[in-house]
Amino acid sequence: MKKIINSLFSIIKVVLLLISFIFVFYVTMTLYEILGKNILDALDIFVPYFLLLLLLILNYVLHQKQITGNLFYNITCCLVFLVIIFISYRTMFDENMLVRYRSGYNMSFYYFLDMMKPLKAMFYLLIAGNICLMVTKPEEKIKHVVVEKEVDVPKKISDRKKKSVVTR
Amino acid sequence: MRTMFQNYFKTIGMALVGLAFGFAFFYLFLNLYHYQEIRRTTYFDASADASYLQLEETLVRIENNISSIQKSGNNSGINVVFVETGLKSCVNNFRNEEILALKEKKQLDIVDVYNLYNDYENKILNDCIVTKISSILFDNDKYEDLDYKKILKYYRDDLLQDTSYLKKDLNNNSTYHFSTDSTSITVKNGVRDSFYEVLSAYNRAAKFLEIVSEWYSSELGGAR
Repeated sequence: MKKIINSLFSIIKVVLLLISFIFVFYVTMTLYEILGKNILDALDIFVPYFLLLLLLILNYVLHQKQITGNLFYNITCCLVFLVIIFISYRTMFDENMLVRYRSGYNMSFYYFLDMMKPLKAMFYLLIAGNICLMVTKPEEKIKHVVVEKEVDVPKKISDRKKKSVVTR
Repeated sequence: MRTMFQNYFKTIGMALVGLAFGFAFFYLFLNLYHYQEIRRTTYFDASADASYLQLEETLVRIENNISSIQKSGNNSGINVVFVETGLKSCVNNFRNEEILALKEKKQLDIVDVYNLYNDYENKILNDCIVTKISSILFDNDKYEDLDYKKILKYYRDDLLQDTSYLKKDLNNNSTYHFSTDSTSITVKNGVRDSFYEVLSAYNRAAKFLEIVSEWYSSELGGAR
């Protein structure tokens, strides 16, 4: 059951990462177009995305079970991307945020830029956590081994050889 | 030794992920709460609201004063047509789309209040008070020394400063943080309180227009 949930969150994690990147890219591109700036100036917003995507690809390529099999890490990633998508949705479509009418572009850019700073911090925490977990070993499963061992039983009790089971 | 370092890195890694988890939940709930807060509405009934009815009555009195202005036969030297056109145009500005739409609405949200304030700023303050009424009253040198005109000048300047804070307060609804109590209270009660602030501003501006129309009505003769 845990494996199924983990696999599900692993897939959702990648999908949400791509969706959140699309939203953030669109809003940033619109803002920079209005300001007349080059989109390359906004590279610091997209660098965490590329780094995290690279690390996720490495995790799968190198079969790092300590990360891909870590349910907590997958859930946290999904949660962070969900927050980004929700913030982007509010930036573009929430009509009750009056700051969108101030600029006249029907987008709450100030709100988006305010929220981007803590979101970047969360991204870097995920990246740092990923790197730290890469160094560790995956948890080994407990294997039950049956060992047959001959034990000499004192003659008073019985002359029969007895077998005992040892679990390691 | 190696196992010890691996355990340390595992602890640090999980702690960092835990921090990200906590932050993510915090910002999710902060935004969900804010999303809900700025959707507050206030109930409104135009037929029973004292401020709205007072505005309607003031506008009716202004219209009566305008209709009592004599178009010809006065020796005051005032351009009657100019005065009458300016006053009528101002009354039409008061009867703008947003104010008339209030009659049909039963619930108001923050966007309605914002649009109402924008119409007040553009149509009432800028167009009516600053442009039309000021040119009618204060561009005529003949009446420059009248004390009454000086009082009206102060009244006009007061009106212009009166609600300058309101737009900033309304725009602040989009930056909701747990910074101060006053910020959260402003957001929570923004709809009801801001609405009545704007409606009071409409009433004060209408009162100013009524005083001006009464003065011209008395200057330019005619039975009421």
